[in-house]
Amino acid sequence: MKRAAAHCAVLLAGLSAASCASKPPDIAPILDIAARDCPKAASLAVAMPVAATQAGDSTKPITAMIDEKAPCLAGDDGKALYALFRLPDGGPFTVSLASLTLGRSLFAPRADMLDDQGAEVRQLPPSSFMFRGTDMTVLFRSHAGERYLLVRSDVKSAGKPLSRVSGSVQQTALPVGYGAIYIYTGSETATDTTWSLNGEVRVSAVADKPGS
Amino acid sequence: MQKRIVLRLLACLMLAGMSACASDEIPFDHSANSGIKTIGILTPAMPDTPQIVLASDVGQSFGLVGALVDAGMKENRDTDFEKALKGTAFNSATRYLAALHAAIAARGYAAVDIPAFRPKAGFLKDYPPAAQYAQFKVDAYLDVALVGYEYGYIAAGIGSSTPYRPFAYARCRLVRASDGAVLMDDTVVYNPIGTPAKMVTIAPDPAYAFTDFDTLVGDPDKAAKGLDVSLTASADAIGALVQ
Repeated sequence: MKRAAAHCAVLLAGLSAASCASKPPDIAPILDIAARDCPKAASLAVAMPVAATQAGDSTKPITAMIDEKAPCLAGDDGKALYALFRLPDGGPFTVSLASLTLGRSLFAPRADMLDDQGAEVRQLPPSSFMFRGTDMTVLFRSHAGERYLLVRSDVKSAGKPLSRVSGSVQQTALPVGYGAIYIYTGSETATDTTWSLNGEVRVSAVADKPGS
Repeated sequence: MQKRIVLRLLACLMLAGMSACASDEIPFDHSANSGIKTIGILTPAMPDTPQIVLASDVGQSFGLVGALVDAGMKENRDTDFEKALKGTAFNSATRYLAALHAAIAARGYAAVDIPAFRPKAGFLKDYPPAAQYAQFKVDAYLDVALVGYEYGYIAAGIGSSTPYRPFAYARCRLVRASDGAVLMDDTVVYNPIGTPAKMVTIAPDPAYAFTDFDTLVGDPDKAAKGLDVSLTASADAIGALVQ
């Protein structure tokens, strides 16, 4: 019985995902910004505030497009584009950071936590980034003294290809008399992207429920 | 027979609801739990045999009769694959436990295998008191359950454009031994159908694709290797969640 049920769940999960999917824009990857003049530290002035929601409520993510006009940083491994997010007061928060696939491009993320003066407090391990659906993500807890989330491109990864295969199930209604029958068909999609310096990132912060 | 069909449909509806309302993930906060040095890996909840899933086919369009035909065909595929796999030395449960052990050890923890009796599928309801494994100084338990989708091979549809590929659907949880607090809770899916939210997803290794079921059962060694790759990737992702 469980196995038949699992079969159904696979189908329904695929169907629900397919019905919610919208095609993202196709953005050409930026692989080198050597010509730009970049400071060594991030400017706190460009920080975007993140609104916190409470656990169980809908999140209020903030999205940043990191394109050729985005601020840049000069690091030991080269020049990177970045976006800076200011976490809400209070905390700790469960913070979600996602790099969104934009057609051929996928922003190669690195993330550091900064204190209120902009000094680095913590680097999130690169291995903590994992895919959730089509997004490259990391989910983590913020700590006291961590005020800013610096999201910058991982220069060493830029230009590397990434191929992913994913399956889905589509439902098509076929009118029959006064009703309809539903035809289910499966398909696979191969996605070829390039890790890039540019892209789009989304950040949200969720506070614990009081008393938890 | 009718009762069986009703139970299948009820289970289907129940799981449909679960997929629509995936639980919130709880990330592990390593800094706040720096005292966690030894992780007891509970015997994972997983069936002995993999399942073969065809995610879409003609039968699904024809109500109960179609579902019944589908169920029969699926059962035949499961049985045939199980027979084919018996000719190999592959043991899913042993391999998965070993992969979890390696993944936890690779993150700097001492890993201890803890035998767990599981009367029901899914997470354990009660965890062993810390004193029970005092000799190992277990600080937290890793509870992993391959439920719902379980693991095996899945094809999105019929035809060579949607080959059978290995999959694994694992729920995982890290629980503090001293008080039962849940320190991490997540789901890791190797080769999901669709793009499920609130869970870690891993794209399948393209080396393990079988154009149809006959091709799959015709090469059990490669099929076993594909299962091994999927379970190892699943275990490694779980290790990454507790780093």
